[in-house]
Amino acid sequence: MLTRRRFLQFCLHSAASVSLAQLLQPELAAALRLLPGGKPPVIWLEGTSCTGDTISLDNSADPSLRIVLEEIIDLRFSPLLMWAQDQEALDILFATMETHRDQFILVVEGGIPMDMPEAVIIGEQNGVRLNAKQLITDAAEAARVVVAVGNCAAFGGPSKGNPNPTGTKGVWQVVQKKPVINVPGCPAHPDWMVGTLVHTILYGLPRIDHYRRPTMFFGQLIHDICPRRFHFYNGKFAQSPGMAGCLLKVGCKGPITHADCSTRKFNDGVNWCINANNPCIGCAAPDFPDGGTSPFFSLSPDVNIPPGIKTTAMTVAKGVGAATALGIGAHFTASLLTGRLGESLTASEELPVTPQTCEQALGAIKEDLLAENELITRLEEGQRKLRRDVRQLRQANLPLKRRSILSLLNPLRFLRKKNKL
Amino acid sequence: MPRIRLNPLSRIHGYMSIEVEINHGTVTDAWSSGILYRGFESILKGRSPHDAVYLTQRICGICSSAHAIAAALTLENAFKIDVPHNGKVIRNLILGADLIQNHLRHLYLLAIPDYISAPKNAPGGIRSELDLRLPKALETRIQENYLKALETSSLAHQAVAAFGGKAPHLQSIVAGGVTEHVLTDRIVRFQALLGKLAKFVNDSLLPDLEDIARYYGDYYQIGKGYGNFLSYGMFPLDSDEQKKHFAAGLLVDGEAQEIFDTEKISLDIRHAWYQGKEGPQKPLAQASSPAPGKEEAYSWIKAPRYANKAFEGGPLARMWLTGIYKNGISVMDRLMARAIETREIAIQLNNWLHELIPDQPTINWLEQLPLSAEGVGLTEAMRGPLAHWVRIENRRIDAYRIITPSAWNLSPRDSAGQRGPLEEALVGTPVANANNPVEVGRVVRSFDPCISCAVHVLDKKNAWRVI
Repeated sequence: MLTRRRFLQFCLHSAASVSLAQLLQPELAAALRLLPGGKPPVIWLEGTSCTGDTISLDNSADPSLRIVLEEIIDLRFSPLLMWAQDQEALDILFATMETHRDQFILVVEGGIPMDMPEAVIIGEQNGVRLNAKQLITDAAEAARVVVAVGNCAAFGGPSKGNPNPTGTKGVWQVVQKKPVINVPGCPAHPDWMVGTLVHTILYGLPRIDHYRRPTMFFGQLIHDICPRRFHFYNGKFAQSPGMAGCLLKVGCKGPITHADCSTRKFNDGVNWCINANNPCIGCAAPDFPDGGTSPFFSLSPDVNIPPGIKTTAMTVAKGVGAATALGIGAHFTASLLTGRLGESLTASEELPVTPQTCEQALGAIKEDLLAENELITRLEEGQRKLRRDVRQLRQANLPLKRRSILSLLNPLRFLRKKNKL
Repeated sequence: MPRIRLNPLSRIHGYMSIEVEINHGTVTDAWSSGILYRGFESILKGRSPHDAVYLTQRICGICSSAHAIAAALTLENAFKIDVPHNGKVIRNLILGADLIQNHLRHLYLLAIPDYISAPKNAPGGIRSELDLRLPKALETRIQENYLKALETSSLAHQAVAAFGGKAPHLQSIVAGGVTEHVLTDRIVRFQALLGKLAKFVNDSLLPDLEDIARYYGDYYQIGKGYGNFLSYGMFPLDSDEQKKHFAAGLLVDGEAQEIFDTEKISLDIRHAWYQGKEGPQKPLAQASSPAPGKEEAYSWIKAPRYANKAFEGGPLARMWLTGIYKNGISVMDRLMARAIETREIAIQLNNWLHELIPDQPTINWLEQLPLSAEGVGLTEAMRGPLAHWVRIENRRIDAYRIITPSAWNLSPRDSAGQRGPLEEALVGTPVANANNPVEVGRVVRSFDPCISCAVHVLDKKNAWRVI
């Protein structure tokens, strides 16, 4: 029998050693077949979506979408994939909500346009337009569990991008009565979606973090398991996108983004963002495309101050902003280099404490920025000194003293110490 | 005269409703409504220009690479920079592979279900099957291929990811080129995947469509529309920026027209849920804010026009303009052209792969962005002509405009009362059963509608809150 423990092991290590499919054949298939009542019905609804997550689900390699449909779920309603149309489609939707009350799984793709319900109309019944805001809320209350796939459904995502024209919110901010599991990512990786569904079906709700993300997929920072991590230790930074080395200085958001892209990779392991020499843009982070992720090619992210003022963390520190200006962004830039990152963001249980007053917030930003500037200066200074020393040693043809050179060779040693790496 | 409305019209990207007026078993008038709105252009305002390449991709989950390339072209036009040879070739490879992905998924997952009965385990497959004409043996074969296509289409996205980082929403295209390097393992992987795809296209897709066309011959007469075709051209050659493998061009009523001029493109919001300047407006000058309750409006899609005429774009338009397929203009011709284009590109991609030069640069990165600039980028997306416009002030995006293929194809009426191309194509469609007008669904899906793309517009900072 496939135990939960074993399933988790597969999910956690699938990228490194085995794929979900190897577990599926034949153990998972057998386990699913033994389920009382057969495959669970699934309703897939779209809010402010681009259908990218449905497409990503179809990219699922092992198991393929065909196997998912044949063996794992009974997909009853999906705007993009379903065969029925018009009234017949809605009949299937309402019949499933009625007869499988508290049994079906609701998958939501796309956020909920709270301030502009007319923005997304799912269908029409008896001349009444059914808007996504109402229908998703109703369906969620009838469901057993809600799985929000993609960053829009989980946190609002690109649809919520400043100034959030439709007032979009993530599903969990709206649905209160039923458990919501967030599977962010833009798009969500098919393994994350299928893995979460299978876990829910076989073992109940997966373990989740403060942002309700399954820890089996979102338990680590991209930066912590990045194959280019040693470049970061060694201080080898890419100067522009398209270069080898750690992409931190060209704006990589791996240090604030929880996901296992680094080991799982995308499209059946063919490639992934950082492997393509392009920085992570934080598409699985809670406030993407704001909250410290934008500009994507900048280490110093924008801070949005309502109403409609956009500035950088630097400007805020000069005293222009307000307390609300404090996003992950300002924190990120500074805490990364001061070493606080390791302590405050890697452990998802310990989220950064929000300052209570404007003065506290500004003080924190100012302090962090000063520390960051100083560190960058010291870092570059150290590298310059090191090069000069090595050159001088070579020129003098002196025997290299192993210990002193080694300590010099690592200009980031103070970072390491502080990060306890 | 009875009017019926199809809502939701499933198997399209985003939400759409179609209203048709039926008289004596024939559609006499039609209204196409996009009913999904997100406001991407205002989200872009104030951001770093580079962000546009990544954020505009989020408009559409199936044609993201086309948006990435259009945005990159727009920024390169504004920054006045050139892309290295390898960068151009890789972009062609990415767009070509993504186009195969899109066409396979559209034909098998979205269009073919209109002509066969649902196989076991098909999503939402319970429906009254109407006007199904294929014999059992053929139907079983196509049903099996439908299930196979669920798996095969992901290979095309793997090919995209080989040079694009990931798909959908790829991560290697930037203004100035492509960040992925030319590595031999990528070339080999791409070629291997391409081989599998070409085999599926030749052995399954084309025979399946030919069989469907044989039994649904009357659909060569349905859904003609205006016969106005527009293509911006796609897959630029490295030697000459103006020359493209698929040439740009215009056809009005089947006649080739003068050279294309970007200045003649306008937007009209008369029948769309927006407030702003009425009448045809230049894209960058067009400022509007959402007005969901506006009278006489029925869609979130604005009406793009070229020289005040409605134009259709897509594989059929491209195949006409390149002369590869010129059979006719109809529902079945659109599907056939899509399949033939897929085969054509699978062949071409193999040739372009040999143009790559390992270890040569793929990117020309601009360190310091210009303080202010304006740019436009034109390319063909899977569904037709795609254009982005940008105005940069203070190194930030001041205005961004996008006119997508689906906006051309699915547009509502304009100020002159002229129907959009899809609306026009629907007129004259015979409908056997007004309670379940399968014929209407077939006409609509032949355009491969994408509402996610078609609607994304907003400007005038936060004005809608006041309305």
